[in-house]
Amino acid sequence: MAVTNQTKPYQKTFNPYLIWRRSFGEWIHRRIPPSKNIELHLNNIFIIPTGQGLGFCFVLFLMFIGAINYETSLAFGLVFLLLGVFILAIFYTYRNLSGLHLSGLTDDAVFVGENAEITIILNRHGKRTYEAVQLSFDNSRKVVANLIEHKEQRVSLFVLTSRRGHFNPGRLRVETFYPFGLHRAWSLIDLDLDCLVYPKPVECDLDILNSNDQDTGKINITHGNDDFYNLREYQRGDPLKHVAWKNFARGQGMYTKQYSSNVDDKIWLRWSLFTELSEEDRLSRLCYCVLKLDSSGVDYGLDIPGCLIEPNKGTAHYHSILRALALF
Amino acid sequence: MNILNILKNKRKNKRKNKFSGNQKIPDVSAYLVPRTSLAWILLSLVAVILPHVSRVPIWLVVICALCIVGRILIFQGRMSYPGALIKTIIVILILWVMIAQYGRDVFATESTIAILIVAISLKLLEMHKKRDVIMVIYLCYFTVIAEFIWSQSIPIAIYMMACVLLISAGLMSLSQTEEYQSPLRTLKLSSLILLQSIPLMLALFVLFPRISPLWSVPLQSSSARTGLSDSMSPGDIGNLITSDELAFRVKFNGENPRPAELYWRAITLDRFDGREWTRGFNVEPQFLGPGDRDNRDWFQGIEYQGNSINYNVIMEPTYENYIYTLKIPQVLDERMIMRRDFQVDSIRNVSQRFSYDMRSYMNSRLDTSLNQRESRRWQGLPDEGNEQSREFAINLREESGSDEAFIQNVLAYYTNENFFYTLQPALLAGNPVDEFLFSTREGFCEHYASSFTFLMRAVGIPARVVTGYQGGEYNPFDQTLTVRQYDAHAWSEVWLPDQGWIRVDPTAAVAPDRIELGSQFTYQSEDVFLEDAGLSLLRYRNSLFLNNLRYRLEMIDYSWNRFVLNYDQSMQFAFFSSLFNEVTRGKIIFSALFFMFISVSIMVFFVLRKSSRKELNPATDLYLSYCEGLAKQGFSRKKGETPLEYYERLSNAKPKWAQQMHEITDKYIDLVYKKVDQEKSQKELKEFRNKIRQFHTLLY
Repeated sequence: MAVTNQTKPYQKTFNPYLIWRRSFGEWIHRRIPPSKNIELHLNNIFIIPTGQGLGFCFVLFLMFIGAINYETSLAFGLVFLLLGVFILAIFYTYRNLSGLHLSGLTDDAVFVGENAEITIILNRHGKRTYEAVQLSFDNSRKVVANLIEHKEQRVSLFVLTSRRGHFNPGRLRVETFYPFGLHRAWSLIDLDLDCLVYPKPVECDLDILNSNDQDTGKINITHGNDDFYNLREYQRGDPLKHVAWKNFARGQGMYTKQYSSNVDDKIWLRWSLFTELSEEDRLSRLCYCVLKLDSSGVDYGLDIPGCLIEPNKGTAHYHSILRALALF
Repeated sequence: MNILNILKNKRKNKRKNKFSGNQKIPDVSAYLVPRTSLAWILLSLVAVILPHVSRVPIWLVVICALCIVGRILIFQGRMSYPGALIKTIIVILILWVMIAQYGRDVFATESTIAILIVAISLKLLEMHKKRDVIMVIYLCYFTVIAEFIWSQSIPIAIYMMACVLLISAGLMSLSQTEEYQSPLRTLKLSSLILLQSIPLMLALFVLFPRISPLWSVPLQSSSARTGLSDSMSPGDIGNLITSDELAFRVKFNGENPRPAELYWRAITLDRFDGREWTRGFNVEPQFLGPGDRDNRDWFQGIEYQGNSINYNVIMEPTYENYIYTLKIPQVLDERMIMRRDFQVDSIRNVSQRFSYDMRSYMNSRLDTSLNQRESRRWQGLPDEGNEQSREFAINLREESGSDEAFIQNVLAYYTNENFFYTLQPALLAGNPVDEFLFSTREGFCEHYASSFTFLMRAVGIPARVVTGYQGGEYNPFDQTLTVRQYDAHAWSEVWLPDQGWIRVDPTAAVAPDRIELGSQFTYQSEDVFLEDAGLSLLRYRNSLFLNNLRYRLEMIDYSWNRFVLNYDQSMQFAFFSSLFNEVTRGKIIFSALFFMFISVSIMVFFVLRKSSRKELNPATDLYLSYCEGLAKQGFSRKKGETPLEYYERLSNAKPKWAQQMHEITDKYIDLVYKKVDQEKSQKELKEFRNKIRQFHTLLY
């Protein structure tokens, strides 16, 4: 399964691999529809012998030939016993997944190029235990979960993000080789995970924000620490570097220093700021500006085609602007 | 050093994991066999090789031990994996020693197993991928099979099952996460899986079509088995007497013959060189298979008369072709041929335990018309030597007047002249027959048979020596006859016109007890008897309890041999015949599939069944048992009724229990809903349990 960040329109293709992959994707979507909480059972577990299992069969075959040629009854017995083990192992391997409940959590948002952390929550009900269940996405490392003593386990998977927008890590591969490694039982489940990926911030000259703005007359925020204006009571969300630590140390409570330059200044992040750049590059630079502005404590707004956000500040505002950039 | 680092890192990871709940798989490129898996593998390797130790050369055992030690050192990081050059040198060296040891027999079974053991041991040293580990495990399974070629006794079968369990536990531990490799749990689950596959094994064992060998396998070349050989010189059979090894077991259909009738013929010896009897002439097979028998005119000379007895013999491997028969056998089996001297040979070398059915006619006359050529064969003597005996024979024949009288007189000579029957006779030199008959006069059955036959031939009576076993021991529990090596015997057969071949046992004239009571009673006083037997139960035949125990064990062993180890096509057919009136291939396949389906379904049921009862709070469990007890008295709890409501309803109905019920209900509510610390709640739970128990006794 490929990582599908966005639903791409279908193109006509004659590449058999692509056709196969596409129809497999459709088939699995019908067979195991996405859901927030999935219980593994007969309909969504696949099972097949591993290479090791085939090797086991080959060894059994050789032993069988030996038993025939030397006419040793106990050798026949052992071959049949191990054949029984091979067959039983199918059910044991199946049992090691069946009845397992899975759900997932993701980071709310990450920047492109960062790893999205996906937490998978595994639950078991009843007495059945689950051992050595391997979880992985297509481009993550494998993580092993064991539910033996506990009823619930959480494991984290990290998937590298490469595009902005809604990020779906693809289907989670839940597989197990337990108990003998002779069979592989697996399922490909879609836990309906969604993580927002913000554009990758690319450094740019912040002066551009001053020079290009005509609407709000006087703006001279450079790094936001010009003339001290007054103190006001600390509010959540105020940048920590503007806290009047001296007053705080004296035990007078927490105050935020306000500066004359950003008292009533509003900054607009406009699409037109970076005229000479491509779409993605513009978004990356706007993203960088948002990060900088947020830490400086200025009110800022966003004005890009199809989206207008009034200047404001605070975490919610910060995220809504980044979200707009991500989904542009 | 690298490995040490990896170990350290792993430990760090482990510590981290405890807190974060995240786990990381060790890097694939640096696969390290988990400690527990390695322990399992080394353990099962030792267990699997142990029974082979006595059969492989000692240097091989040393190599094996070195490899195991080397593997442990590699694991501890004190040694690195051997390089390509060292590996090549080791392999060439071992091949060279191997060829030196086994020479041309390097492809025989014995040496193949030696190679297998070397291969596993060396593989240990280069086990650096998971694949290698799995290969070692599979080779271990193979070594178990190899053991069965040598021995399939019940103790070995049990021991090997334990080995299979160890190997399977090793295989299982490989797919476990390292933190959860509790050996006990692994052992429990693998034994459970092995137990659950037994039904399928039984079904397949009984029903799976047995195929005859695809090609003949080379067996070991030079193994010293105890048993009869096709020559006899003084002292040969005496050597067998020291062994209590099993020779064969017989089950008669119908009545058991008397011990004195049990002369088990094995080899007929015709050529004498003055000291040693050999089977010199290649007595050609007189007919091949039952179909041809009418074409041979000599065969007409056998008159099958009187009562026949049918019996089944399971003989231990002799690595020769002869098989054991009584008197005049009638061959019923295409796997064997009868020769003109009534020796029956198996077509294939008896290298496995061999089971056959045989019919013998005890009162028939053998080969009444002996032609010129045949009689010359049985009259031949060396031109010179043992002159005194020849003279003695000729004089005695003249005195006797007839052949029959002559035979009687010779036997009388043995009886009257103070001959002594012993296992440790004086050694005989130049003219053994002369020395035995006229000076030492002490000897064992072969001395008597040899000298008697010599005397017969000296006067021209066709005569021969027959070696085999005499007697045996009936097991009082299942009536099987057990014949051991110490029952080995030699006697004579002489040919008289009109009577054919008749058996004459000169030993009977000297030591009638040997024939009537069996060898063990005769030899008991001699210290060489059972010299090689070690701590055998046979030594304690005077204790009734131990003797009965021995009989019981032998009975089990017989059934094991008969019904498990010798389960073959014919037994399979018999099994199907008992199921259906008419056995067809279709029915066999159908029933095989049917039984397989049934056994697999049973397995699946046990594996996948869900526990019907949910895991409950122990207090709730107890409370429910209290409700059940009341329900039996006719006061079942209604649906949706809370414990308090239930109590109130019951206390009105049954005021005499009210006190107890009140306490129980209160306690239960406390236990389930009140916040208490762990330790205290355990104590309270105990009290609660006692209360419920008391209440139950009150109810009944």
